[in-house]
Amino acid sequence: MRLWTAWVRIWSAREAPSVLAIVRILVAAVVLFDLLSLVRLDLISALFAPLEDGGLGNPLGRKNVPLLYQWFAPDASTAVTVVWLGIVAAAMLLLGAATPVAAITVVVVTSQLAAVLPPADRGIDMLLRNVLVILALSGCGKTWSIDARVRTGAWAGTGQTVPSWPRLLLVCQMFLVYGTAGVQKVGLTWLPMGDWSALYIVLRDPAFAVLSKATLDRFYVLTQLGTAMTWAWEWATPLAALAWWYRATRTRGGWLRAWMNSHGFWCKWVVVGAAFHLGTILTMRLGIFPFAMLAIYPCFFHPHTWATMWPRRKSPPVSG
Amino acid sequence: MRRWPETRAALIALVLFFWVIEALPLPMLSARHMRRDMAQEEVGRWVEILQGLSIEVRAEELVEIALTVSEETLAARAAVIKPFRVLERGLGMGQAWGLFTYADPYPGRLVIEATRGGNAWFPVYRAPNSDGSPVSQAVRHRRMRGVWDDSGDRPKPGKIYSRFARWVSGRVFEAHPDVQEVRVRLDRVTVRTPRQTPAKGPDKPRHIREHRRDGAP
Repeated sequence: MRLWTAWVRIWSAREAPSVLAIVRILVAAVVLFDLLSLVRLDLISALFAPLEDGGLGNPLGRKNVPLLYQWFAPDASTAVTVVWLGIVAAAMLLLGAATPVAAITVVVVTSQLAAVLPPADRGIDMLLRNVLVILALSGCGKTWSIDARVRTGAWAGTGQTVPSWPRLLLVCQMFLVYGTAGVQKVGLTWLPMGDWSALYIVLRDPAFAVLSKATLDRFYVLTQLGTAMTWAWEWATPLAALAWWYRATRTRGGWLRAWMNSHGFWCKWVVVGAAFHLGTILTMRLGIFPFAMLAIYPCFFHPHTWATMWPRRKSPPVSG
Repeated sequence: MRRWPETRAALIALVLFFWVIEALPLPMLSARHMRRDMAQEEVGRWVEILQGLSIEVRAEELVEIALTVSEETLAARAAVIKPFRVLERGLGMGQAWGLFTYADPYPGRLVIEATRGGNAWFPVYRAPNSDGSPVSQAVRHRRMRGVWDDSGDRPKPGKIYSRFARWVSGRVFEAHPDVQEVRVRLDRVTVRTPRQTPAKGPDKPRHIREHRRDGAP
């Protein structure tokens, strides 16, 4: 019974909406950029029109025709309209206008695009949809949004708190991503038996490569170190989850809690993760992947923690 | 609504349970996957490791065990998460996270060449280099890369690969009005580390698709 009470208490906590709002803005910016890049490169028809109208996929030839083409005309103009609907919704989400509706619209649009041509939908798109559904149910539009301005007269809202559970759920989602990605790295090249060569091999893949073979050969030892660190970092995810819990319950006893908190285990794990993603931006062509992952990172810290990191602005005097 | 905190906590517990079951890294293997060079090499190395631990197993047996375990565990998981998947599927959600699970030492290199006539082929795109042209940018887009990489980087390319080749040829014809013929390939690259014996010879050309401006085969 005590455990259940504690569980209910954890998911009943409240906090300032700032972190969820930052995640909302960053995630929306990434989605917006991604959808606009389809327009800029004129890829919408090729990727999302049916085969009969110039598309690469054959959604009408499948047993389960995507709802998009069951409900609307199966042609390129529908694909273009839906992508533009996604762009408008992502822009609204960024600005915080009708936030929950905008978030769900982006989810519906991108999931339908995924159904039309599954190979064009990557793991990061699925993760973004998971995140957007959580954001739609959260109070991420309660601050720094048009919604806040309309409701309260201030862009920042009234300082009203929102439930913490969406942010906590986002952290759990990230634990699952990294933890299971680590456990699945059973290819021998991730291990000493494979000479820790995984990163070198991945960086040489012409689909992702940025660095030349000569450069990679010269810094082979560094790629080995990167392989070992990536593997160890992902495998350390359960420990990170423990450190996260210990950080939230720092006033309790126990040598492991004290040790993890005094050594800043949690902060170090987050910083190393962010560094990995920044590293992939410089060394690989992974599209929006590292940016989307980093867009979720603010959720790793409580709004209070962020507030203490930022220099506080003096509050204007309250009139009246 | 007095019971809302409890209800919410119960719902979250349920969601987390389904997430974890769905994310469990069970091997999704098929006989087709196991026939690939990379899989064969990996199996061979595992056989050596197991033999080093005095566990005698043949490569074929190991593959058979892996396929059986994969099939049965996946079926069990599918049964458990079925009600949750119904909800998830509609919104394209899921929990399958494999980030470079296996580093492929035989990746594909997309090569697009064109000719204005005769046998004088010139490169339009050769991965990973880009001249910043619209064609280069289009094929490098992460979504388009997913299309040709997923359907083409395998022993027998899928239908989508051929459609991609036709589509990108059309783009090249648009960009180069004097081009008469376009050739698309996905060469097999052999990646060897500096500590391994260098790969013999150049990339192996494969999955060649040629398209003429006039549409003739």
